[in-house]
Order: sequence, then C-alpha cells, then structure tokens
Amino acid sequence: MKTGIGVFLGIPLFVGILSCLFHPTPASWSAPEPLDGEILIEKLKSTSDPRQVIWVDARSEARYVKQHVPQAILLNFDSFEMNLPILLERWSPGKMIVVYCDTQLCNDSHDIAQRLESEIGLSDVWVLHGGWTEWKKHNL
Amino acid sequence: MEKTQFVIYWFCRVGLGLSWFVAGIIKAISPESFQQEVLAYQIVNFQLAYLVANFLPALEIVLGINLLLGFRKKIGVLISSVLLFGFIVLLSYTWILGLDINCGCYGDIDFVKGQPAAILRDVLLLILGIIVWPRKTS
Repeated sequence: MKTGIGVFLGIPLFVGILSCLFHPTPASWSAPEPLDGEILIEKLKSTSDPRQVIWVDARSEARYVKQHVPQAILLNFDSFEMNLPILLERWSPGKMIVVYCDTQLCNDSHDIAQRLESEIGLSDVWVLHGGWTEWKKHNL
Repeated sequence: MEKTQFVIYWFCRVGLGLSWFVAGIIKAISPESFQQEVLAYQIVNFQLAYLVANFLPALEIVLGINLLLGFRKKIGVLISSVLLFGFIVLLSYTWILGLDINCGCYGDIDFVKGQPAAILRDVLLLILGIIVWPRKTS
C-alpha cells in the first residue's frame, strides 16, 4: 500500500514539476496581461455606457444559441456575410464594438475584430480579454 | 474466476485504464489549454488552475498505466473512484449554475458535449471501477 501511495504521489509530482519547468506550451502562474486591442471587462463596466456597446459573439452558432451576452450579434466566419448588416444597422459613430469568443486562448474574436476594422473600416473595435468565460464570471 | 467473468473483468479494467491514460495524455499535451478549461469552471483561481493543469494529467497517466498493466489495482481503483466522484460533483455544480462549459476531460477530441452527458460517462466509469475492484477470488 505504501509503495502504491508513493507511485501515485511521487511520479505525478516529479512529472508535474518537469511539466512546470520545461513544457513548450505551459500553463501560466498568473493571469496574462491584455494583448493589444483587448479590453478588460472591469474597465468596460466602469467606463462604458452599456447602450454604447455593441457585443459581437464570434463563437459557434450552437454555443451562441445556448447562451450569449444579451443583445450580442452572432458574427463568426460562417455567419459574417449574413449577419454583418445587422451589426451595421446598430452601429453609429461613437459606439464601441466588443468581440468575444470562448476563452483567452481562442483567436476567432481577434480575427473577426481585425476583419471589422480592416475590411469594413469600423473603428473602436475591441476584443474582450478572457472571452465568454470572463464575461460569465462577472455576470452570474 | 470463470472465463466469462474474467473477460468482463479484463475489458472493464482495460477500458478504465485506457480512459485515464488517454485523458491524461491529451491534457498533458497542452497544459495551457487545460488550464483554461479548469478556469472555466470558475471554482479555482489562476494559481490553483496552474497546479491542476500540471499535476492532474500526470496522475491520470500513472493511474491509466497502473490499471492497464494490472498493478496496484486496489489503490488505483480507489484513486480513480475518488477522482471520478469529484468530477461528478464539479460537473453537477456547474450544471446547476448554468455554466456553458466543456468538460475538459478529453480536450478537443471529446465527443461528449454538455454536463449531463459528461456526468453519465463518469458514472459509467465509476461502475467499471466497482467491477474492477479487487476481490479475494480474483
């Protein structure tokens, strides 16, 4: 029994330490800083009038249908052409657009934000730092 | 042990071992992704998620290898059952809260979507553990 406990504690501990030190895609000890073009939900809540924010959901349609930020527009790569007119209808100068996808690791929100800026020419487009997970954490 | 009983036992042990081994390997490939899955549960902070992301996959792999090879079955099945029970509690909690999350059990290759199906899978694995639990006759 003692050997068993040693195996189940010792080996994972050793491998876990190796993973902490040498893994090529390591986990982070502290929350990553926002990247360029990302906005923190705390900042968004404290500085922005909610009526002046247009939420864009860059996740899959299935996830959007299940739950999304109230009033968010589904705008992923599959629905971009179809739903863009809805966004443009709601948009007016002075309004900010905040795009989100699932977590901090997904890139779809950055890609959609970039398309909105470079292809459509919209400004004040941001990506929500931490994505849907972060929004959900602050809105339970 | 009768032949049929032995075959059932063998399949359950290998099935349980394989499921732990695969789950551990997939998580160990990218601790970064697994940490995000853990954070989505909104139960632990970044530092604890960091520890879970690095140490849990290693434990799952060791557990899987032990069950596959048939070593230290008693403590292996015990740890397996405790972990599965913990996962069931966590998944139920997030389900009650209405969180839309991935189980995080098998990374991107997981075909099971949503908490009820993931809970059911863990219950089935728990049953495999009960079948595999070492008895005097085995």
